[in-house]
Amino acid sequence: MVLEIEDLVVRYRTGGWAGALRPKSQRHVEVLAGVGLTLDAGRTLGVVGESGSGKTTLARAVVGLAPIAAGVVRVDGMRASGWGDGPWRFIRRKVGFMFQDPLASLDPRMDVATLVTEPFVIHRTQGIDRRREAARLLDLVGLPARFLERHPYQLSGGQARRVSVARALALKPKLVIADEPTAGLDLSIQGDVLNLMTDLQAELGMSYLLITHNLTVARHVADEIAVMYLGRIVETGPTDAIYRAPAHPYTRALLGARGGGERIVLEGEPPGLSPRPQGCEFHGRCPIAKPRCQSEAPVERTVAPRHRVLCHFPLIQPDMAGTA
Amino acid sequence: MTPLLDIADLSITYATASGPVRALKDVSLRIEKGEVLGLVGESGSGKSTLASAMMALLPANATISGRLAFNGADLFALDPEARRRLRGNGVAAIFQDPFTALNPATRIGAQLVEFQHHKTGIGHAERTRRAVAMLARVGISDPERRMRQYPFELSGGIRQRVLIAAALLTEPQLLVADEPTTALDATTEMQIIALLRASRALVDGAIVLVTHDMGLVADLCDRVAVMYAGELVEAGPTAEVVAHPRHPYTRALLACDPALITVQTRHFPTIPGQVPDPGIPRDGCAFAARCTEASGLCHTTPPPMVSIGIGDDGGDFARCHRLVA
Repeated sequence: MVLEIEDLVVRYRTGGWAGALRPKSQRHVEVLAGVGLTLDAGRTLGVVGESGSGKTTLARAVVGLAPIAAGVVRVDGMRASGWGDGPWRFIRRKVGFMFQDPLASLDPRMDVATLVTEPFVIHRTQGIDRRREAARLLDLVGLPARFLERHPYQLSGGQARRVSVARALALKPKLVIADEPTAGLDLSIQGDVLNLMTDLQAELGMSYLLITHNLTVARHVADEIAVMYLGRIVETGPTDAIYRAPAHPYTRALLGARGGGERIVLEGEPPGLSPRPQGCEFHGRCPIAKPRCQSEAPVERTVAPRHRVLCHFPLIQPDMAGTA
Repeated sequence: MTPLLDIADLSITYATASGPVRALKDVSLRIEKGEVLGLVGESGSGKSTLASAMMALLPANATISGRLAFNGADLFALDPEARRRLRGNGVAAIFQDPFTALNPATRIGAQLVEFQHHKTGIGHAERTRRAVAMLARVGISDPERRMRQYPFELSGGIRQRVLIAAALLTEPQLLVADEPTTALDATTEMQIIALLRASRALVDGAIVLVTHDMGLVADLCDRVAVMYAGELVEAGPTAEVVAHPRHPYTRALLACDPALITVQTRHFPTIPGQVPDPGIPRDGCAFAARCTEASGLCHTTPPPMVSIGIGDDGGDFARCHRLVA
């Protein structure tokens, strides 16, 4: 198991010191409220959801870049314990990170050779010929060696993605976290980047945690899907099962955006997090909500092998699963 | 009947520090009243330049040749004052980013009233009433309260609704929507698409939807115009173009849309090569270098506009040598 997350809670402090003086004031925003997931070696897990659902926070928490209030994150069997950034160094070595906006995450004053070998310096890797490693990494992502001297402003969107893939792969990670790897790219170039990621996975065997709001992309490249809403995973399972027969009304609504079937158009927008809604947190927008949903929080139930949903009234029943 | 918008042989060149850049080359297109046209293409295809030209919003370094007639009057022959009057009073726009299109320091209500300054014969109270009514029509609950709010208090979806309301308040004959859903989430996107579909009834004229999303075009548009490297390569009824694309570029573009690939795949079709540099003059077809069907002629001679024979007025065409029998 490359990645194992149990009951992960991430809280951000809000309100400042003045709020602390007011009785009963909400002091924290719970951005992740008990997330659990697992990811096997060589597999791809797509995490989908709207903005504000906690996808990016989840990605950041895996490498200790978010304030973890409770829960466990294990990468390749290792768990960071103790205070501060120090213990996370060992985990970060094993994880490559592709940030959302590649141009913003590349230092404009560094050339590509320096950028892609920066991880060696950060992790104090001895006995490395940086120049040779840089050439190897560029070759891996299909960029010619003349790009070694280029600076970020000389890169197109697709080339910048390739550089961020190269940098993520520098330390031969077990896990690569790709946060919206194709946002803002044209369709033909999006295909290029995804094909590259797929080829590299076949060659190097790492796992991907793919964070995206693009459901059509997730459908094609992910083995499993986790759907997030307000900082919880509301449905998770094998990709084809979820796309064929979504069990959560929210998933159905998201998928309805494209493709066939009955279309559910959700009213309104996700509610605020402070305070969180009562009962099932989706009930305010759910087209099939019943009185029970307003008062009682649902517990996770299994509707098919590996297919779990957080809903009182799932759209598919356990006995139906597997027959379709 | 005069078409609402008649574009003939329109070429636009930007003067830049590194020499002239040809953004549009010999674009001809007609848009009739009541039509919803999808303008699709990848970045650098010139679709935004064409949209700006329709709104007479081209920057000062643009050199224009050809004709763009709005209701029969050549837009580029008008004096600047007449052109300015047209914007917000005939042509309206919805932009991609609802976060920057509103003035952050002014309340929504004041902005919606201000947008109606071309409308004569109605007072402030009537403009306010119209603004509130329009907010309600675009599906905003409690419009009176929204009128008193500032843009930062609104979510992206609500802001885009406000901008659609603003555009509709001017009662445009031509509504240009430039990537109106790109900055929005999937569920909000669906709400805005439903609203745009409903807006058809509210616009007494035509809607041009600029997008790179073929799914959106298939959903909303009667006709589609496909752009590549500053040229219009194919135009026709949406259903026809999606089902039987004539131009190799249109075919390639449709093939690499993951939403249109029904069987799960890890390997996406791509278009090898790159969009040609608009700063370098070229003979022949813009797509020749990336086209799998290109022959010698394609590299040397500009392709002809071949009517694809759905409309007999030549409004439906593809620009490709291979179509000449």
